[in-house]
Amino acid sequence: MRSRRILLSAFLSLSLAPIVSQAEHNIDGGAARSLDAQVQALKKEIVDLNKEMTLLEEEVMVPDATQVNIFLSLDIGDFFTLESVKLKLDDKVVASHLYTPLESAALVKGAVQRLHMGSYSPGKHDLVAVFTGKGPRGVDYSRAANYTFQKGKAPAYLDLKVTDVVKKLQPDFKVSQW
Amino acid sequence: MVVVHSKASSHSSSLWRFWLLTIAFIASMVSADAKESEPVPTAKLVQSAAYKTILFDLYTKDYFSALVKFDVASSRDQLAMTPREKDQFRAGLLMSYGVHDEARKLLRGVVGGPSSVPAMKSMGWYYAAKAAYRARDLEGTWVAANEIKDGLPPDLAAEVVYWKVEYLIAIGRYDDATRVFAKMLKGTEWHAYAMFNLGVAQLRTGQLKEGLSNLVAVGRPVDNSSNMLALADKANLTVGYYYLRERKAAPSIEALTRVRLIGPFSNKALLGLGWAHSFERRYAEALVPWTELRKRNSTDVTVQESMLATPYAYAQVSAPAQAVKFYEEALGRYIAVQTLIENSTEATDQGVFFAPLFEAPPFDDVTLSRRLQEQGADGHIGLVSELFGQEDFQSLFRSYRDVWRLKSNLDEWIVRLDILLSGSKRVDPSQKSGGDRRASLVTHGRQLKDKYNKAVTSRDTLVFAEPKEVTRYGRLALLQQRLDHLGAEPQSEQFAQRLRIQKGLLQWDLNATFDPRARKTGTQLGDALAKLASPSAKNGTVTTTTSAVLSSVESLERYGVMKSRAAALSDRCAVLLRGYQKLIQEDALAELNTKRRFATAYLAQARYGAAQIYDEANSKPVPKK
Repeated sequence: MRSRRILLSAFLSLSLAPIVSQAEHNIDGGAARSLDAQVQALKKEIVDLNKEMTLLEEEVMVPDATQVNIFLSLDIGDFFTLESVKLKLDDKVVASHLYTPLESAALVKGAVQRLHMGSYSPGKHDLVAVFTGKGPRGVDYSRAANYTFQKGKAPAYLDLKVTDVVKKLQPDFKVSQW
Repeated sequence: MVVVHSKASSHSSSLWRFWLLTIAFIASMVSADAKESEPVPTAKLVQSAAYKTILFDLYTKDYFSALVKFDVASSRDQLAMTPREKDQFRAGLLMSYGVHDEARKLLRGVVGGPSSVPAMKSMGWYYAAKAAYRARDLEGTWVAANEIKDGLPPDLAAEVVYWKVEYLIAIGRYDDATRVFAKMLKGTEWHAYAMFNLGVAQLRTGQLKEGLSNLVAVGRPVDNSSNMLALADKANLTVGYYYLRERKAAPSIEALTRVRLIGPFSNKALLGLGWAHSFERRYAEALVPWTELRKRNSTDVTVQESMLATPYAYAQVSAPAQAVKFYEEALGRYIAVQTLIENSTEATDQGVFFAPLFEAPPFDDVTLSRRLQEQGADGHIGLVSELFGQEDFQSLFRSYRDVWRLKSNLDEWIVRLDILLSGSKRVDPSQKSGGDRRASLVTHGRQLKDKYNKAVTSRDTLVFAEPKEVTRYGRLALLQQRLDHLGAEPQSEQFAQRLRIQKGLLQWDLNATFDPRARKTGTQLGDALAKLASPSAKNGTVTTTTSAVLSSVESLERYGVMKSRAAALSDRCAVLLRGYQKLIQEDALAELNTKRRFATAYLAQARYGAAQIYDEANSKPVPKK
């Protein structure tokens, strides 16, 4: 009988367990809210500062007269799954990127990635972009696209585009200058 | 307030739906424009690219970068959006990044005025309601939610009703909550969550029939998604324990057997099942779930209780030897748990337990959760797993990680600004020197002269350093910061020694070249100022060289201001990080204290139970031979 009483008290402690635990687990709400408000204010200030610093950096390091921008976009993406890209400008590797599934999906959805922004003198420049990934039927696929462009006094914008050629059931890699 | 279940995990998915609608709307505006103008001018292509690069960050959930890019593009007038669209888009980014207060301010402006597109207005109100909900302002959520007329897709509309039900429950208007809930679209997750919350609220306020009916319905999910199955487990557990407290074994067993044998609710279900059987004196049946449960991790309180319940059941079925055996085994396991609790408490108290996570918190939530699990690989995890699984605790850690990333961003910028400083000396500002800037250049020139004089007086070697030296100096400073943060690690001293040598060598070079460099800069500056005072400059012609030197002053000033701001913000981040560390550690210590109390109580009860059986055996008369 006594043994039963002991176990009953154990059971009661179990019944109370979630309540006790809940009380103990409750994070200091006031402190957490105060920190959250501070974090929000801080995030806003740091975003503002980052904007200003980015503007300053681009203005100083890549002024309009010497600025070259290279973008990457995908069109449809049925015949090619992008895994990596390597960019050479005047025989020098200026950018390379390995794509996560999330990034590849973002490009398929119509987003554009700025692969490179740099400072270059006016004149003729050679661009080589090497794409690797999975081609039709999931086979490994690697292709390079070459492009020579003329840099004037205004900023240069180049667009690397991977498109599907339905007739050939193959991807195509194009470079154009705006 | 009766908020039983917060559907936190679904926030991102519904927010995502909102994003898709906003993006689709803006895309339709952009494409409409595009049809009218052919070929597309470069400016339009640049605008489109600016917008789509923001989408890239948005789709990859890098909301910070998306916000910065948005603000940069906006200040360059590269976004083809109306001011209202810009505000709405920015508010969305702010909310995705967790800056709810600022998002709400922006949204007030968006939804306050007339809008030509009703659907966009509804979405604006939806967004305002969501921002309020995320800020835990249920009244604000209610007000905004009631402004939404139509035009929302069914999922989002269901979410709005969910908020309304939650608000009405919170203020105790259960009948109204039931009426609003009745109009809710069935079959959505929001419907199930609202039904669960309503059911629990009804049970607590004595509306037993309605409450149990709602909970039983949630406990039989039509949708087999992991979210719905977990919610069903929770509902069945609630119903099972309600009947257990009422000492009604049959309905309790029926509900508890519906809880899956895996998952966070299975331990409590197994324990409750055993008790339900024991109420009916079916001890052999009670032993089945208890025996399964006692094999599990003994740091869990329910497992500890099953270790006590198992010998109790054996004693009831007249198996005292088995009972004693299990009491003794339980004693050993309780002592082991106590030791683990003490070790964990010490490790947490001294900051060792969380140190790896504080120093390098994982960036994505899945890895964070896994790292927290790994953190307890030596046994700690069982003690704090319940805590780690809580949304509030994980949210604390996510905030910590956000601040940590902000601090890293600022520290990196401080180094980049140093590089920028040196880079500014190489700028060709001929593109920017249009017009007569002589007056401002003269002012800047004087300021530069002041800076030069101060640098010479204070022997500020960095002012005249080469770009590579400035970069190296910044990197060494960063390494020093990280080393200071590491504290007394075994290899720290060796590393610190190497760092001291590197810094010493650099400083030696800077000191040695200070005088010639200062003289050279002084000469250049004097020439530039003299040229500014020349007749040609007075006539409006400023030479490229003069302009280049003085343009760098502008950059230098902005650089100085920004570096100070970055450093001040980095310090604020450090203070916040310490605040979060303190909260996280205190919370873990509170959890360990609770575990200590349970383990101590169970240990005493196991000792008492075993002693009692020995007493009973001793008190029996010895049979005569």
